[in-house]
Amino acid sequence: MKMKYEDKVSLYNDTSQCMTENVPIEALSPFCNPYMKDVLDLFKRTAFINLSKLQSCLKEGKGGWETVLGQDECKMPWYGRDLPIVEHAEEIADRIRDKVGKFGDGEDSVTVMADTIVVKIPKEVMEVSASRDPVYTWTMVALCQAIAEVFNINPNTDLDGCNMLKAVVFGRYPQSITFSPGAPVSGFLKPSNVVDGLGAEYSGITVNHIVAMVNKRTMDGLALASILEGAAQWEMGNAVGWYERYNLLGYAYEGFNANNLVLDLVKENREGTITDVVYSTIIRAVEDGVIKVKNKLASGYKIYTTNDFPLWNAYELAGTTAAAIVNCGAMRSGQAAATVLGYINDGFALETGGLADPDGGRMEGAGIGFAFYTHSIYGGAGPGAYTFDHVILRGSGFIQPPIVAGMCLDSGTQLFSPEMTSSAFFKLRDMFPLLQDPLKKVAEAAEQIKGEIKKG
Amino acid sequence: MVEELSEEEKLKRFVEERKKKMETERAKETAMSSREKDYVRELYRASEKFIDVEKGREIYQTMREIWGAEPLSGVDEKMYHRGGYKQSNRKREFVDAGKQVAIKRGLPSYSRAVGLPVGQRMLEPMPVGKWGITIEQDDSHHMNNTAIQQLNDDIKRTVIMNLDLAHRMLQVRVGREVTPETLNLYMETLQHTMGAGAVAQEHMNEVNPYLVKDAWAKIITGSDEIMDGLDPRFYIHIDELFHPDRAKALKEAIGDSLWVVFRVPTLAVRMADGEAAGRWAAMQNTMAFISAYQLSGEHVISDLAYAFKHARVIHMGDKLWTGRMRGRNEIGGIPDGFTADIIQSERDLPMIPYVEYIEQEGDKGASRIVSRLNEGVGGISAMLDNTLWLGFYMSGGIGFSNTVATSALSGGANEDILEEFSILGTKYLRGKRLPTKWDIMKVIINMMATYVIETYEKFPTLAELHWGGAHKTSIMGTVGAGMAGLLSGSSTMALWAGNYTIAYAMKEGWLRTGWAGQEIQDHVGMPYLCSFRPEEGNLTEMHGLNYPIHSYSAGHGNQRVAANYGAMLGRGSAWCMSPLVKVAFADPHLAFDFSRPRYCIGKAGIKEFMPDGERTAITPACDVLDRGLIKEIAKEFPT
Amino acid sequence: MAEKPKSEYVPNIYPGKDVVSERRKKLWDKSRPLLKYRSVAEDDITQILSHRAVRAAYVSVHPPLEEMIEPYDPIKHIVVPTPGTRAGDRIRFIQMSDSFHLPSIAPFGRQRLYFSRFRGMDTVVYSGREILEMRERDLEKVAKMLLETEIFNPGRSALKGITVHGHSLRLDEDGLMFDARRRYIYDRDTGEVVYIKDQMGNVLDVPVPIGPPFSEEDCKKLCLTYSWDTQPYKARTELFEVMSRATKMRVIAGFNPEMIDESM
Repeated sequence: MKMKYEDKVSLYNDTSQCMTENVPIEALSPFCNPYMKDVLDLFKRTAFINLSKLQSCLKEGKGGWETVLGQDECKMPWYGRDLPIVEHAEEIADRIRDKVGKFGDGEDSVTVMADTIVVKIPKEVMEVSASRDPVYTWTMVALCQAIAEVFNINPNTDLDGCNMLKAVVFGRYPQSITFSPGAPVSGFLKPSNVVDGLGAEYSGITVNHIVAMVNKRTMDGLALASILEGAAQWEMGNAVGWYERYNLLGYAYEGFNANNLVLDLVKENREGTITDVVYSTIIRAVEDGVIKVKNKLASGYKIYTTNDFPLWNAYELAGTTAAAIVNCGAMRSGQAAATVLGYINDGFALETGGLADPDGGRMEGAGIGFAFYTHSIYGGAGPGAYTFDHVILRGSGFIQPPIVAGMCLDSGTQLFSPEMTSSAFFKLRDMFPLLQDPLKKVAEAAEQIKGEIKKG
Repeated sequence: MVEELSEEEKLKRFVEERKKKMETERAKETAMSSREKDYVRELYRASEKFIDVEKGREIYQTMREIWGAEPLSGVDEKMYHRGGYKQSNRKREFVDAGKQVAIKRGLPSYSRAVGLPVGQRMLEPMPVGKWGITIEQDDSHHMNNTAIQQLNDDIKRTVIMNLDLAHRMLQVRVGREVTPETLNLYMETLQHTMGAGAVAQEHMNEVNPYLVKDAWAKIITGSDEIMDGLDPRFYIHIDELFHPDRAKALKEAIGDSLWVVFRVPTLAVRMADGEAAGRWAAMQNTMAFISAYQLSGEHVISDLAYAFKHARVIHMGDKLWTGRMRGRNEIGGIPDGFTADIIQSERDLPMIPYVEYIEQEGDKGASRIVSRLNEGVGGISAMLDNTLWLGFYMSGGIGFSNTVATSALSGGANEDILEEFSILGTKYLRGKRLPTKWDIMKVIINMMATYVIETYEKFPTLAELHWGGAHKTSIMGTVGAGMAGLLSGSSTMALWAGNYTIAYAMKEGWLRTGWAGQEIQDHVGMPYLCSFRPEEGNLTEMHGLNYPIHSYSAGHGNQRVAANYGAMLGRGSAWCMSPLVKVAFADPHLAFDFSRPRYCIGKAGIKEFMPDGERTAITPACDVLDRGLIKEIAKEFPT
Repeated sequence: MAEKPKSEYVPNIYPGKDVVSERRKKLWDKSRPLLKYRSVAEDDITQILSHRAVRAAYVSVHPPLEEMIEPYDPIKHIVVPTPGTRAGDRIRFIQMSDSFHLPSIAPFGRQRLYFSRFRGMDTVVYSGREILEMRERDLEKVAKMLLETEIFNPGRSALKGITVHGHSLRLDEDGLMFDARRRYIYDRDTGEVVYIKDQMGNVLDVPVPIGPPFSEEDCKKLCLTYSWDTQPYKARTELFEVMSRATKMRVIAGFNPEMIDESM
């Protein structure tokens, strides 16, 4: 692997212990870092079958609902079927394995975890497919067939039962273009046909889901969010060519606590204000030679300059993230992240005599939008309910991690809390040890491969 | 030596020989065997008897009324001699109007000088249901009919939201209590904000109340306790609007939850689209909340906005696929189960299965159920599917598809036949629902299909009324699906029967179905029926005009909705898919009467239906031909 | 990394050396205390904020932090929570509106002041209003500062929790900013602005006098915005230089971040 850039960072965990020293920033790219690859692979090709939900919906004749909460406006009890689906989990899984798993190369693609069947669509299938849709299509069809086989449901034995089963699994699809929210079959990411724009697939994930998956540990939230949003930025073309180093540095400092900068800034300002964090960031940047005073104006006002905006940007992002942590930590409320993201940028610009602010100004625009729409009648939602690719957030690829951090710090002020919107995702950590300690694992994986990245 | 005959003689000899041959043949004919004679006499006697029976049918009377001629006759003596377009009042009016428009604007307009000379056949009057209203075909064009327009508008402008989450937010985050008093204040405020009245901000643009007199909101709940505390103007009175059995079932299903059904102004959805309805309702609801509960522009507001726009809101229709992209609350996105719930024609009937009902009530009951089925299916689903969606949204100005829907309006034909069949059922079914087994259902469906087919054959006037294969196909499918639904209570069984009736029964009998693509979904419908594949199968309630195979072949909306609605009546339940949608359209304030849709459409046909959303409050009083700046003076720019 | 003494670093805060610039630097520098102009009793503040009855207990949205069992997260033990956060208070708001005409503070001016002086806060900037949300007891504490100090001109700034219309209207006959809900009046006898309603427009049990409006001279002296007849904006060369540089930098950074160098 060729090392294109001189930049090297050391990675620290959230207790300021150094986990790996002097890794080339390429080691933090989804194309090199094995842990990142594993996470993305998991997200891309995994489906979940919630058998309890399936059983209760089938019993009550519930299918084709639209509501996110409640999910009870459509009910047809006369078509309901009381079947012991959870009891037959293993049998159902066997049949799905038969239909789907056989394409895998020895990989165990179907596993039963209590009342959930986890289906990992085989790599071969994903490679041949032009999309990642088999996560939904294959899983759902195989599931319906498996249940029909186990319980002997066919047009001869149970005409209405066939279609009630379909209604529970598929909702109103294809009359509706997507499935019911909270349907028995789900994936990590949204179905691709409801993703706006090209390449944004990995960012079709809800803030609260990330918070739940890291069990509200702030810097793990930053890491996992950065892996996903960073991958989306690549896929969208936002990290190609001129932006490659910019993005690598940005996520290294914002998401993976490069050189412990975020944590240093937080600790220095644990009783401080947002503006204090701005000052600390500049002090540190001057010390590290990232920026320096170019000249002074008549009033004594200093004009700063830099030869390395991507690195200064990374410092600004670290400062923004630290300020979000300080402000949300002081208030222990996720709603306090928005104000930092919208308005800290002016602080950086005015303090440096006009150097470009975080993400070149994108953070301010997206941040103000986020502040407005988390406080207004015009739409939006509480911060936890946003998806990374929401139109209001997608103006910047760096705004998502600090929002996750803010929600991790929330002590229960939100109506749309992770406990309400993402209860199933808390359990995923136990199901997938891969999701535990992402910050640590990114560093370990970087350590593992750093020797392979040679100067080209 | 051959005799040379003159031309005249050749001709003479030819004629003589032909005469001789004819006499021989005639003699052969008349020398029929006695057996053959008997047979012919039998046929004659049978046909005599058949004529009496047929003359006793309702359909005979209806056809006579429409055509003013012998319904059983296969000949129209006056074909081509009816005066062309002049036989129709409406078309004469159009010609006059077209002339006036052309003169006024200096460009040709509607003109019978171009295209074919219409009216070579009889342009027959159309009786609407059994309402005693007769309209002309043109009166059922959606652009001429204010009731059909209001049908679309009243659905498009409806959104249903749940309040429980918002109330919880108030209690948990703001520490405010929700009481009957606060609810009443909120509801009163909501009536103001739904018409774009301002509550929190100064210097807002507001809307003339006359333009939005059709904007309001009402609570839907199953809780008697909550309803008792509310101002009676502010909720839908389920107990008064539905038969007690139905009311009880609906209230139980809805429970203590508090929902609000919003009616966005007709003018608003006409200016924008159905998607705007959800946004209007969410915004105005949020403002009413803010005002009634004294909130500010603070963070909790975004929770409200999210709750009302996304978290627990029911739109009437989903978004559509890219190829026919439209937002929510448009007809294409309405699931067929919702359409069946939107129909209200069964509200006053007891909630017992069809077969039990006809056993109890006899012939009258049998007629009643069938006429309600036809009222709803013909008046609503046929209009939505054929007239509005496929015939207009998706294709534009051609006036063909809407005639297919109109065939479902003509109660005389469909009701009459189905009623007979239904009455037959009272004698044979003995209160027992049919199981969902094709081998049993096929007997009844075959009987019924052939019965309908024969009726078309016996009544050439009926065949002329439903002049297109498309019309007959649409009716056949509806009748098959409706009957099977009534008999089995299963919408899947009903759809099967509907598909079969068209794809096999009708097709093999006549070697003819509808327009070239009409039967697509009937063929595909069978392998699709119980399939688990993603774009196939599913409960008929979950189908609709965005479901790929239904999206491009017309004349089946009434078939699918007849399957759902018929099954609802068949099993004796109070709704098809959603109890909330069922209650929402019982709202007596709506201009369109969803329990008597054909009556509304008939009234609109005779220009006696006033729609909502009129702009008279802001338009000048002027001639029907005026437009733009009324004064003809060309004004110079000031600078 | 050891804590760096801040005293070595002299923040820029704002370019320029004129009166307005100096005023901005003062307001946005937490090391410089603001002059107290008046006292407003805590009970009066509670009244005007309208979130709870005077002397009533604070409403909680969750138990006190020390009683909560949360999943392990080192960060939660680093940042010091505010008193209101520790107690589990609900989050409430104060919303201030500032006149367009020679205001002693303006919306973004507030935001920058809040960012430098307050901890644990959520503010959103509009033109007719600035909303500040904090845990309730923290909010009441800062409300005191917002109402008692030199930044509050009772004639040109107001508490408007709802219906904020009026920042850009002409002043009324008493020189006060317009308020559609008539929350305050000018007492001609005492020469003071008196709040007769709370910020949501509910009539107060006991009116709260809040001090006299600034004289025209004081308005000009304490004005935070540039004005043609006080500190002409167009003459602010340093500020324009900084703004011009900032916008160019953004464009280049957006185009190709690697393009920026020391010469720019």
